[in-house]
Amino acid sequence: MFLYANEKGFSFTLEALISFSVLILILTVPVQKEKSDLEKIYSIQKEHDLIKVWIKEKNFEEKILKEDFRKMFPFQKGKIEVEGKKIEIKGKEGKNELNVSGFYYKNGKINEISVKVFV
Amino acid sequence: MSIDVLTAFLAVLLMFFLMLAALEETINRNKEIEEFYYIKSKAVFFADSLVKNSNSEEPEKGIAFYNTEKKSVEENVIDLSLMEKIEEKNFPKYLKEIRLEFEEKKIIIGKKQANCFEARRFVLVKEKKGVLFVSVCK
Repeated sequence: MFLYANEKGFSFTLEALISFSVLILILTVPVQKEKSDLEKIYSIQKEHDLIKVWIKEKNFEEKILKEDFRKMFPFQKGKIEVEGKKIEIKGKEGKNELNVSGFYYKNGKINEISVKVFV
Repeated sequence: MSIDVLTAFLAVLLMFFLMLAALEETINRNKEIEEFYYIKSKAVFFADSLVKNSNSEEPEKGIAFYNTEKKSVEENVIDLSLMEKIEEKNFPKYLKEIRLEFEEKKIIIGKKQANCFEARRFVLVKEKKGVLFVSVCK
């Protein structure tokens, strides 16, 4: 029973209180469905950009790679793997780990370069 | 009316008030998130179009370099002659500023306002690395 009534007045039953609480909870849950998806797409696009430009330049000096990474991701934590080097960039660590890889031809071999960012 | 009934009635009213206030806050917050999402998505997609397409007639849709030998567009390589042809009056709705920074140079077309989102893309300009910024405002 939702409300209990008697001659003196009425009061909420435990069921009614629980029902109201659940209703308030449902109505106050924020809906944030698409935001994170766009953020991921945008981050992946920027990682692709870095890989494309680095492959065209073929200059994989750690200092340069770090500087370029910072231009695209000023605050995020990241990792770059190229030519056996593992370069870590300190920064804000988000919940999502987005990894993008690319391949290039150098010295008669196919090599891999990957960029990871935590958003 | 007894005190019991009055108290219960006030409690119900207060509960409804709190519920409506919470609902209004949630709606406003989500509205803001949706509006910003829309602005952000426009900026991200405008920037993507600029670096991936080459359009000499409507350069605001694409300023990538078209390699005539390979007969293909070189993504993320900016054609400065196309960039210089962009006019603010031809900007699509919401697009307010396109800025290209490379070496020590800056090319700015348009002017951004308040409440903007700025998308950035890493590009090559005349074999030098640069950043293309695209600002979309409410």
